[in-house]
Amino acid sequence: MLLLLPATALSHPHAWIDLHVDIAIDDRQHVHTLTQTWVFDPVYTMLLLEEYERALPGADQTRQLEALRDRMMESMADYDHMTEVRLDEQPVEIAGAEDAQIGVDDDDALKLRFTLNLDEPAPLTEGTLSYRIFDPTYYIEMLHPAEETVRLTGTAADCRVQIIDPRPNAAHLAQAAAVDLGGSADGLGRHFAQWVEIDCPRPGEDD
Amino acid sequence: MSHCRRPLMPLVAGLLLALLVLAAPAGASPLGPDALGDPEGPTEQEQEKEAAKESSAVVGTAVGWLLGTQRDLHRALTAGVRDLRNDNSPANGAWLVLISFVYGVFHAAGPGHGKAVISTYLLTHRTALRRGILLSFASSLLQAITAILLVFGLVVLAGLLSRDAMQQVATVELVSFGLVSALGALLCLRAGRTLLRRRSRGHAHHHGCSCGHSHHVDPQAVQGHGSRWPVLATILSVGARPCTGAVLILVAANLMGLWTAGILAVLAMALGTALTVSALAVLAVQARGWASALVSRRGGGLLAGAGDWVALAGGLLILLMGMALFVAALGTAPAIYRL
Repeated sequence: MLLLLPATALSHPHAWIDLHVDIAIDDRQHVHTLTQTWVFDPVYTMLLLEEYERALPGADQTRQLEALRDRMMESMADYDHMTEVRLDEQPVEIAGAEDAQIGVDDDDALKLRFTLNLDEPAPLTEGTLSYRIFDPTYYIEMLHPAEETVRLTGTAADCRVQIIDPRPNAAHLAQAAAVDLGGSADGLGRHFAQWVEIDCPRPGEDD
Repeated sequence: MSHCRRPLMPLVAGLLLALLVLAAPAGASPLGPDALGDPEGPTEQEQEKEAAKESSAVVGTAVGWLLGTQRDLHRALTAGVRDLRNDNSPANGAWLVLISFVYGVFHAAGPGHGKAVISTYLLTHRTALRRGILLSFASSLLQAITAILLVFGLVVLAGLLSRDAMQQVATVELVSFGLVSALGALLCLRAGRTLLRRRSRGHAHHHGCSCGHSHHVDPQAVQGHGSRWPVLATILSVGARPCTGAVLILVAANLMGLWTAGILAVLAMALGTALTVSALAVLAVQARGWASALVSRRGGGLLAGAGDWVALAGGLLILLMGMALFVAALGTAPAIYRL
């Protein structure tokens, strides 16, 4: 019966973000950056805009949005902008983000776009690059709505993108609650995060 | 509910009971030593990645499907709000109310503390079917009313930001979990008192005459009287915690200045929730009836007090559940970053 416990921690995300990621591959098949576009859901957008209408009354929306953008980028800086990158199973360090832009699109959705720099270029010749983007507390669900939302540019011939959907089972849910009861808010989100893998043909491999 | 007497019913009810009982050890682990395990190493992360790739447990699939459906409905809900903002026509309003209803049905199908409390109570306490259904409807409706009062009070009267108001749900949650604990404690006390009374009465009889079965107390007589307050307390403890979906709708409706649509949507959501919870309540009441029939057939007068022991166990379970939830809610720190 206590299986139902995780439900409180899990009372599902309250908001969501659709992810679009552009990955530039240079001619040496190195990846330097992940350019991310986050599309917020319409209701969460409303809540955020209300906050900045209140914080900067009378200011035009561009200025309010810029303030919102700055706060987001600043507060996420310590969390690698919610992004975890690996080359095969080795963690890839993240240097930081730049070129942050913000706006509200025609569907009344807030859009945040920024470029995430890797500390050192990741060579696709040496392994599979994988990443996941998630809110550790799972307050916001962050997903790539479709395979096409991951775009490879540059020397990307024959490279393959695969999105691995999260499959939280009962054990994951219980584990998620356990992490939560242990006092850490972290950990819930990763069970519900997609892994995105980028594979390119490597020298010495026949396929 | 004429079909409830069909032979298949006990089977279904028994399965539900078994499922709930079997689930207990799995859920108990959050409180076990695992909770304080080592910080994760890369191996664990690898396993987790593998697990994500390979996981195919039936439960996982079912839960995954449920989560997926909930997600779609949640999206439909927010899209409905947006459509209503762009064009607040009756058609868009009706659409939002309809989605809210379906959201309520599905949301209640997922795990939740309200259902845990209600089903535990009904499994361990003799309750008339009608009262079980009433319990489900009343607690769902109270959840809606709590959400409406909370949002109106915090956002309109106190002038809080919608986002901060939504965070306050956590505080109300604590109250609800406290009430669940209190309910559990009271149920324990009540069952304990009945057990003590039965024992002393049993002694008196033995000293006086040896009148065999005549001291058998009809459980309906004991539990039938004065059993209104546990039902009320259950409604209160479950209804004190608003559904987050309801809060979301109301907060958005307020921002758009469409309170009527918001309230209608939330009431529709409560109706949907009530239907699902009622179905669960019917199963729980049937399961209990079936189990107690089985016990009385086998054990007869010897197990006359079994119902009270079960009630005691149920009270204890609800108490533990309330305390665990309370502690968990206290320990959940809000995110440091602000998106």
